[in-house]
Amino acid sequence: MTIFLLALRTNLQQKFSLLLLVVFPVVLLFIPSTGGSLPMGMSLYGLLNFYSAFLMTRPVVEDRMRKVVVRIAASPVSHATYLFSHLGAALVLLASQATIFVIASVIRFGPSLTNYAVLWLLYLAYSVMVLSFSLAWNTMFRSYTTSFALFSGVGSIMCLISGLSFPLHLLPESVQRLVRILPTYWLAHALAGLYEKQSAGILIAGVVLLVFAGIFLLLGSKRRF
Amino acid sequence: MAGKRVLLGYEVVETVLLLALLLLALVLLFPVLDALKILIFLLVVLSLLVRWRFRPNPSWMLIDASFLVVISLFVGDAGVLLGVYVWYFATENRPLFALLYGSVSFFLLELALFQFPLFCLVLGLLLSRWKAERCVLQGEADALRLHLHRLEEEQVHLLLDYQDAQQLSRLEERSHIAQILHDSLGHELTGAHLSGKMVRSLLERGEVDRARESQDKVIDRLERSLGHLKMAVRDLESDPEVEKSRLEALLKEFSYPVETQIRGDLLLVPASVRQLLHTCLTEALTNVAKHAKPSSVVLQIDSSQTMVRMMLENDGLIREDERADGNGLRYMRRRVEAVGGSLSIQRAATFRLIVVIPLTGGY
Repeated sequence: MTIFLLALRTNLQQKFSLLLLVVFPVVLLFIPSTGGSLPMGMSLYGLLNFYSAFLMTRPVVEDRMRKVVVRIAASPVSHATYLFSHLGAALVLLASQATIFVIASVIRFGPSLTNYAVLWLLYLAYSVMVLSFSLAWNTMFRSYTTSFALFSGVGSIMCLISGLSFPLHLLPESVQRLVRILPTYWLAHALAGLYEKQSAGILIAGVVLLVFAGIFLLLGSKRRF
Repeated sequence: MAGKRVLLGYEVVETVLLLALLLLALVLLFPVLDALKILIFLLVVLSLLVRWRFRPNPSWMLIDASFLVVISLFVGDAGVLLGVYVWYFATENRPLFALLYGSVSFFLLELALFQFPLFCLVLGLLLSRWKAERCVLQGEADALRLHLHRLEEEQVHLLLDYQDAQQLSRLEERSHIAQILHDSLGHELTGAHLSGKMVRSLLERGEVDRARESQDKVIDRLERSLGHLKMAVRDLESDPEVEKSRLEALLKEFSYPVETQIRGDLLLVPASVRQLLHTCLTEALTNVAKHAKPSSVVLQIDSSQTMVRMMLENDGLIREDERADGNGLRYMRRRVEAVGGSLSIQRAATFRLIVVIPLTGGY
């Protein structure tokens, strides 16, 4: 069995992961919209995706805690292969989640609401970013429990002030400018661009998400024992 | 108890300063911060992180910096970020590149914003000087470590040479004994053996007088052999008197009076072990003279059939920072351990050096 398949199986063995991947995205679609933007569930999906990505990186942290990485370092498997197999498995699951959510959105809101292909691509770019962010975040901690405890606080605040769990246009102008440095803001920004059909804004937001992903990946992929 | 010392190393300072400069650049850009400038800022961060992770040749950063110059022609304020590259080139000991991009930023930016690249240049050059100085110090420390390593290697070789010389001397001694036995005893004993045979054949033929003459010859030859044997043994054995006088001279010439207590017969101790003890004592006394100011020095030597123990004790000043064994002690320990013995040090109210050598080996 390859590391990729093992990581995929480990993630799927958790029943809560299945709930996060299949059930919760559909539930989000029934949250009422505030008007003047895409349905609230589409931005709240960013929060769900954020937490899902964090849970998907759990095997990597646990491998470090149980010193599995030391054994891997002594094996012919390179650190890059190990890491990208895990991230690849997590990305496949997050992409599946995005696909389920987008298909359910088409069924719920009809095909004319927005460009769903662009929406799916945005969610994919966002998934890559949140996965990299989770990896970088976890490298700062030796225990997954501590990491998750702090992440649940920081992550919630990040999503709240960056317009994912709260409509972006309702935030004060000064806060809107300040939160541009947060990576999660750029999904809300792109969703607003998608609603207003601003292609340039969507493109820049997508690229910013991918650049953030690169930054976090460079920080998080450094081998730690 | 001394507190833990926190050392602010070059790498930490460099990282903290880089983060501070990035933050400062972001603050400078904040009034005009839009999506495009955020993207440019993030790309600059990404390019710095790539350098941090993969450490390519610093000159490759010219591509990133030139790319930023081109972008700055269209997005004016983004030129502020050139300051970060100026800082990078300055710290990586590329002052010409740093000056080049500093000059470019002068043409791209307003005078107020130009202060940032200028500040980065000065800071980078200062850090670069620190880095160069640190490299020189590290080089010197490495050279010292290498020198110490070579000295230790040399010491090991000397010890091996000493052991080889000892083995050679033992073989020469054996050869000398064999020569004495052959030259002196061999001829006489062969003659006595032949004369003894002749006595028996003369007695069988009834020639008693001639047999008696031969018997006298046998006795003479055996007496001469015994004489030769005594002389040979006397030649081979070391002279206890000479050794005693050497020890007395060593203790007499020492700067402080030494109280000597010798128990057991030192003549029972093999000569090679006696020589080793003498060397250890010389080294130990030198150490006392160099590092201590004793009011009394006591030397105890106990010898038995199985081991010999030497203890040198002094109540001189023992400084805390001299606890580590010096080269002399280390060398002494190796020589004692090479013959299966041990060397230990006791530091309390007095300083004790104890050497124990077992006498079970084939010396």
